[in-house]
Amino acid sequence: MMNPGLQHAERERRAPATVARWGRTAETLWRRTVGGALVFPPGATEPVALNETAADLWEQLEAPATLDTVVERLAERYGADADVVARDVHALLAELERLGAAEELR
Amino acid sequence: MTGRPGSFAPAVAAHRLAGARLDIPPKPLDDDAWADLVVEVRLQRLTGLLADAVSSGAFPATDEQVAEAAAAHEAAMDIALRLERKLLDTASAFEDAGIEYRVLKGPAFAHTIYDDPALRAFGDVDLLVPGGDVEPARDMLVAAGCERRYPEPRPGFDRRFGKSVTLEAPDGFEIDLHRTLVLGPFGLTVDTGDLFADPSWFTLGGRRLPALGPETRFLHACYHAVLGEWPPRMLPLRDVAQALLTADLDTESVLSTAASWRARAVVARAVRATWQTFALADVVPLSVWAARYEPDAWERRALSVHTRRKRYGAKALASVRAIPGVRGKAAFVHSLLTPNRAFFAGRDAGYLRWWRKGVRSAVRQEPVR
Repeated sequence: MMNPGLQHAERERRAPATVARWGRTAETLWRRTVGGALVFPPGATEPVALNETAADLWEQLEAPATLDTVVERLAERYGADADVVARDVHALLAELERLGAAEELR
Repeated sequence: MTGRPGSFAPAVAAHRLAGARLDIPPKPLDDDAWADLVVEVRLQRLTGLLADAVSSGAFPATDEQVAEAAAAHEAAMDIALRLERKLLDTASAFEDAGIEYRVLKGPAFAHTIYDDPALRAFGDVDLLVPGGDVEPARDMLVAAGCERRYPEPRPGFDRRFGKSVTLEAPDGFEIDLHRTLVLGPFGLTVDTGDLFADPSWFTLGGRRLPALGPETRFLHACYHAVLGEWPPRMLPLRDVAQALLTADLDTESVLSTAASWRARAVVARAVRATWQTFALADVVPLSVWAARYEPDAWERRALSVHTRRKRYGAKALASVRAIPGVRGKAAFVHSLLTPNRAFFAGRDAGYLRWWRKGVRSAVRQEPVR
């Protein structure tokens, strides 16, 4: 049986070019904090603190990933329902995009 | 500043350092001891190491203590990120103007020798530029709104003899524009051309920035550790350990460069202080060498001016010996003995007081091993 990490990688590799991936904006500066992260996107006037959940999402964006993959990984990690996680991920990604810290890559 | 007797700050500074044999408390510190530790950790910029130590359970702490360490760490990282933004802006400006530079100390160490840059806090931006570019770089920063902390003693001093120009940005952050690594004789014997050879690179905000190469970075860590403040501070000593134990250093190259800079005594002193402060068990070729090294007479004299606090005059006078040529020595002495009137602004000194300090510094010089 293929391990979950490899399954994700395989799925990412096979993802059609039209499926959007999400990633961090390269210019964003950031640091881990205890149970969270600080991000400082370009153009922002000050760093923004991410709580533990948002920081987990931030970790998932280290390499660009599709929304489905991010949701699946976090649902697995938290043992939570994928639909519930998907709603939270959507909201968090929208906020990170608004801040200029994350972007949809096509 | 290597820690009060009985303090656990050295153990915090050694957190995650393989081979360190320092005791940690068996249970959380009481309120008074914890408060003392936090003050010391903040002063020494060890908040990242403390936060990691207590949150990982490596250093026993109560939930409140973990929260306090986390808050201190977040505040330090907030500053680090703002400084990194300033570094990127300054680097862009230098690149646009064709000014070569190397990123020194805090941001460079954090991103090249630490596993996680969050472990290494810093409080300013240090950039090295070639001597010939000190003035244009300085003028560019002044035009951008930075203010110089201390005026130049005489025109041309920054370019020929200065260690660095300290500038305060409009937001209060400090940019140190270096010509060499340290004030005093050891700063003048550095071959600054070596500092621009074979850089190491790190990525920040999507850009590649040049820092010193591994060997010169290690030498700089040694200079900063034992020629900066005396007694040495713990974070610079941790940098020495980090640069030596985590990077693949060419020991021969380190020692030959140190010899050409007349700085083997600096390396020996820094390595010995690091091994002693962190009770390091590891034996590496440089630690064996450092334990046996005997400084020569020139090194002993040069080191002696770095064993007391704030002895600018003594360092300046001792520098004369390191300046090649009679004309160079004369220009240096002339600059410092008869500086511009503006030089005294902000130094709480006038001509007479400046002279008296210089004379006192000169007569107090003593050899130190």
